Amino acid sequence: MDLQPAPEKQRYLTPEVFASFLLWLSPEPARAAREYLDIRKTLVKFFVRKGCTHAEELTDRTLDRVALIVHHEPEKYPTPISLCCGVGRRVWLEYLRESTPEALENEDIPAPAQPEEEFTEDEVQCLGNCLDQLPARDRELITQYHQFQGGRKIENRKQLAQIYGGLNKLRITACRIRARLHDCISSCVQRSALN
Amino acid sequence: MITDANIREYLLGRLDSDAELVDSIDEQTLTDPEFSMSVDVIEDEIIEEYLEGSLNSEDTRAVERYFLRPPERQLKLKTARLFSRYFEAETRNVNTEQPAPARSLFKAFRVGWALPSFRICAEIAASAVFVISILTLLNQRRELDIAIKQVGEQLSQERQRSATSNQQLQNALQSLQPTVAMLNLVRPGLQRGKLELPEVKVNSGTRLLHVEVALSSSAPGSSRVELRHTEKMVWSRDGVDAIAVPGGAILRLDIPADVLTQGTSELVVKPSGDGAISYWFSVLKLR
Repeated sequence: MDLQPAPEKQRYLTPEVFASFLLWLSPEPARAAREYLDIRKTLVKFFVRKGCTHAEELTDRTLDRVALIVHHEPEKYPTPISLCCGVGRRVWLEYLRESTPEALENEDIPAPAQPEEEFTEDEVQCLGNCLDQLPARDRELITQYHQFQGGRKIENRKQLAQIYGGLNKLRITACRIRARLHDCISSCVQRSALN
Repeated sequence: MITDANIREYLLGRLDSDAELVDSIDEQTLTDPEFSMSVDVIEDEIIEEYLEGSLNSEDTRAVERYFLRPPERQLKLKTARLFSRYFEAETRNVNTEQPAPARSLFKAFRVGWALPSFRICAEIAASAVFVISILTLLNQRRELDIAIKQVGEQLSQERQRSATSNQQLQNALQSLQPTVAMLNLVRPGLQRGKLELPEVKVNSGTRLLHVEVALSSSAPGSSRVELRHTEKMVWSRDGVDAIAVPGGAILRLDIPADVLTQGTSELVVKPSGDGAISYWFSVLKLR
């Protein structure tokens, strides 16, 4: 599978190329837009999981390249995500080669900037609002899930697991609720900042 | 078979990027939503353990030097720290030694739905005040009615006593009033000018009117006497004897009081053989 566009073909993303990419995702424009956003979100997460500090940039680079490939050979790749997966991994490896830093002594590696300890009034307010927006059962679960620490926390979660259908299901449910809260708070804080 | 431990090593950047295991995890994270969710769960748990300080030093170093490089994860850590602070406060609230009712009340206030709103409280208070006011007014009205009734009864008794006293007073007055009224008639005929008619006052206790008529004639004999009112005779008596006195005679007679009528009356004396002589007087009836 050749994931590099041929030199003589279109090498840059144009409106025409992007339109053909969306058409390839779905003939229905609204659905194509949703597909595009889902793929983009998945790719960003992919690069973040690999510890990349420029996940958005690598995602754009990946999608541009996929769009060019699809523009030239739309019949060759039946499933978008498989193509995106292959191109994304190649982009990642290229990125690693581009940005391999010189070896540093452990002591010289700076720790990433820590978030500020204090939270703004908006952030706290947003958390309260977002918790209020959750269904009562979800709010109850996430509140109970995060109670206690250490051994007491483990015991607490075992008891919750019996109520909520097993430990794995409980962990996944709590994770989904946290993800919703995270998105809600981020949006809320951004709106507050704009206002 | 990819285990949770493999995923954890992957997320902490401890797998060789060229390894087949990394390729497999990469592919599955992109193509398998359930697997991707499992990775999310483990990622959240790494953040949670990092915040709790329960990671070993090697893992902590991996988190700080690799895992937290992307700004997206730093934001996620910040949000997780916000959750942590909030839920720690929740735990403290649960652990706080408070009497159960007070704790429930505190929680109800915090959640803000268990107790009625200020508006409902105000409405309840206003209703209570209204009901109390109505009850107070009704009680005052009842007391007022009772007082009015008592005063009415007292007034009725007073009226009764007053009527009784009045009756007794009337009786006493009647007993004190003379039963015989006196009238002297000297000049016969109607008076002219400013001279007034002789007047006699009678009341309910008067039984008789004693009349003495001065006659100019001293001739002895009996006379007929008639009492007229508005030219109608209301009383008469025959054989009334005159008593001779120096310069004339006096005719004495008693007229029953019940024949007297308010107003001007005429007493006609008809001596035998002579013409009639009329004497005019007025009657004033007192109650």
